[in-house]
Amino acid sequence: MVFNSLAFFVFLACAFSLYWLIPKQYLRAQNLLLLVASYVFYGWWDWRFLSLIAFSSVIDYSVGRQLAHTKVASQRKRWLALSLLTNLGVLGVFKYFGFFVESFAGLLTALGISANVPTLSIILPVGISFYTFQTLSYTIDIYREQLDPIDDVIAFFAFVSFFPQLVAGPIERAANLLPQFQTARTFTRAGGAAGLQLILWGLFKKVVIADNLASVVDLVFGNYGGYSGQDVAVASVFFAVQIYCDFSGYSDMAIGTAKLFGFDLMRNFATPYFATSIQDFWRRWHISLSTWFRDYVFIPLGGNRVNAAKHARNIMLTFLLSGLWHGANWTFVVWGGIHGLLYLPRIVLPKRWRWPRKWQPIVGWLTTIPVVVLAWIFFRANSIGHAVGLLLHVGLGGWGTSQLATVQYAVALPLMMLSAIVIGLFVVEYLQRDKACPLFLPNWPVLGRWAAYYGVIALILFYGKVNATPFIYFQF
Amino acid sequence: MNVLLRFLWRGLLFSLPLLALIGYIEWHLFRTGDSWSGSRIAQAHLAREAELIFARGYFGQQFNVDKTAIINAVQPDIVVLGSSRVMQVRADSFKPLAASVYNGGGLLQGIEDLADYVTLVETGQVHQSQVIVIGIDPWWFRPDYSGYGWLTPTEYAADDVQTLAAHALVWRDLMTQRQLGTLRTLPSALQLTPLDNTVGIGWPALLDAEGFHSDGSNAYDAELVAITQQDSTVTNLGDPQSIANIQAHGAKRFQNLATDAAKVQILTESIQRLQAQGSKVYVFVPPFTDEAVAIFETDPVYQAWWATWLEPIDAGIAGLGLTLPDALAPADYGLDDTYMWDAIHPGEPLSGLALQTALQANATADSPYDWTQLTFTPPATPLLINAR
Repeated sequence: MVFNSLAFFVFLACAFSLYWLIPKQYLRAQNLLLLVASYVFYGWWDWRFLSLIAFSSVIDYSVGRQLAHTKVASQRKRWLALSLLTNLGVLGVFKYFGFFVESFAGLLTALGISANVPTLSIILPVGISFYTFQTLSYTIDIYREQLDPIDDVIAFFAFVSFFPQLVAGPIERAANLLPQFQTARTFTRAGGAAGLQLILWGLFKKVVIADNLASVVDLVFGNYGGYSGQDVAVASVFFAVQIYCDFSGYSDMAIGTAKLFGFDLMRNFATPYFATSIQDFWRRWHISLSTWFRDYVFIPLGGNRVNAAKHARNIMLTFLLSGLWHGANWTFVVWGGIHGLLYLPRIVLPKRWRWPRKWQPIVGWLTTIPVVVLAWIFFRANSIGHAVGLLLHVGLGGWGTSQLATVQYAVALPLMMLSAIVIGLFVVEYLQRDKACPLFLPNWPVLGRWAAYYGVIALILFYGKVNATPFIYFQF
Repeated sequence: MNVLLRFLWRGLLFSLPLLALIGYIEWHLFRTGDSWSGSRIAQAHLAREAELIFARGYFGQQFNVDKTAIINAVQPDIVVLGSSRVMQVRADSFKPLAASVYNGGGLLQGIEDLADYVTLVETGQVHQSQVIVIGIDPWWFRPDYSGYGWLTPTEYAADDVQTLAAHALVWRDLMTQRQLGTLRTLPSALQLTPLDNTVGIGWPALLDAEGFHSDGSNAYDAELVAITQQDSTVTNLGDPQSIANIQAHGAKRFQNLATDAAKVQILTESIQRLQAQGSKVYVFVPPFTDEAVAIFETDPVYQAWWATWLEPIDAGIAGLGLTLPDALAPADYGLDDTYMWDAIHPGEPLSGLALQTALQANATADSPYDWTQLTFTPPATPLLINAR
């Protein structure tokens, strides 16, 4: 079930009504309802893979309890290893097995060795990268004695499978989300309104902007030889906007949906394309993943409290792994590598080489965002060769002419208008940058607010692509 | 709970204009019959003896749902199957035989759809008629051509009208196409169409008398009908592009034409399965225009294929005791191209004649009807049997 489908909204209305019909003193009953709803939500896609979530939940619940009762360091390590092996093993089999086998076979072939390696056709379960990382944070935090294990099995299972953020995050930390399953939730008007505003804004970004831009991007990236270099450059910028609106749209809807049930999830995006450095970008983009890698990979490797060479190594390793997390393809690894390389000048160059503070925002933006857009080409391309072909075509494919008019039929609104809406989006986001959602308009009169909401609803109705295209991050 | 109720009340207040608009649209969709389900349309067929035309304006052309529902409700003795090229066969073509006839034209978009239809008959999901007449198209036998796959046991009754998603798309279409005002002026379902003597279900039927007749045949819109009545020599009215497509080897139908033995086998096996169920099966090829046939015979791209495409099919059905009349154009029936709606769709009189020729060529003593009694003669009106 995807957020931009009618089935989801019917499901949400049912789950919301039943949930709040249960008095708040029956916390376990509310949690049980959330658990059942989450399994229905996930099972709607493929019920067979519910067993994977249940398996991860059983293992990590048990490991958490064992860690609490064990003080012997070696035993604690073994329990943690069990959790790591289980979760990363499931991830490895379902997500990376084919990739590693094919890469190995490719390597053998390159060395002149005839390779006949077995391959398996394995379906990638939706959201597996998200919920395995979330449940891993639980056992690792208990191992580090930063978190107490939970006794309530229903609350734990509901935490692992919590449907608003199950398939594409935000990847919540157990320390933030689990306590919310253990305390009574109260419905507030402000929370409910914020939830609906987030859902509306997220839906707008997804179906009006991301899905319409996707129609253009798919056509140009799928047959870049038929377009000018200028068109490919435009399509690359479009993809940068598309993936932002697609993923942040999902996150907004996830956070908004959770709010309707009385939960507060962490913010996942904070106007990332206004970032003035790569560090700033990663403080604003997919915050839940970047902080996860910071806390569970970068810092354990030594973080930045080491010499410059090791710092650079830690940065590169973290970003390469982050790239691989996104998908079993070398394109994602290269994408991560580009971001890692962007960090290096700040580590290796002396501070006096930096731009004067007053110039930093504009120069930082101009040197960061274009490279981020360029890196997205690798993220979107089918292969390294495809990405290189696209990049070469930007330079050699000619500028000054455009064939983009030929893609007009695939878009629900004129390209110029779509571009105007995109610019409008960024203007609104800039003006409302101190708020988690641009539709938070507390000082506006009621009629003004409602007019703004109806304006967004009208854009969705008139220009939204309503064929429930899955969110990009579902594949990760 | 009070906070929640107040929140819901406020939410309802906010949504009221949108809900009112949706309610307005839904009311008119129901009132015009546009959102009626296939089974409801079928019940309307059963309830009315007068001529009836139905067509959905906003829920797509789901012949599979509507026509199979009507076949099940009406339970015709004779059913005619094929693509849009058999849609012009009228029940009147079977006079004076006392048999109920339904035209399932449009149900088969490829030979695979025929096999699926047979499965529905075998499993009792679709009524088994005594006589099943199949009109075939040459492109069905191309190796790379396939049907819609909409007559499988899971698809044949999957009615869009019963899904919220389809309704949402219709709301959006009506709002964005600024046709809300038009809705208000539409007549209601089972009102007279512009043709006076017929009733209509669905927007196109009520506005233009366009859709399907009670017997399942195609009802061309009132404007086209009026043109045929003013000028009986006009051609290519139905689809003026169709002859250009043949000349240009264009559209999906006219590319890579060939007869694949595997596709012929699907046809013969389907006929055998229907015969095993006790149905009498007949096959015919709806005519093309003389102009189209001349292109097929002389164009280097088509020439070799056209000369031989029927041979494997002839041989296949001959093994089942059936004969395929060698008449593929109006001239073969002593008529001309004015008896065709366009390059590939015969008019009603020519369709009746082609059908009669096929049935009489296969008249046997064990037929449930004596086809030799068919006395259909083409009327002076070249495209329509009954002046409407």
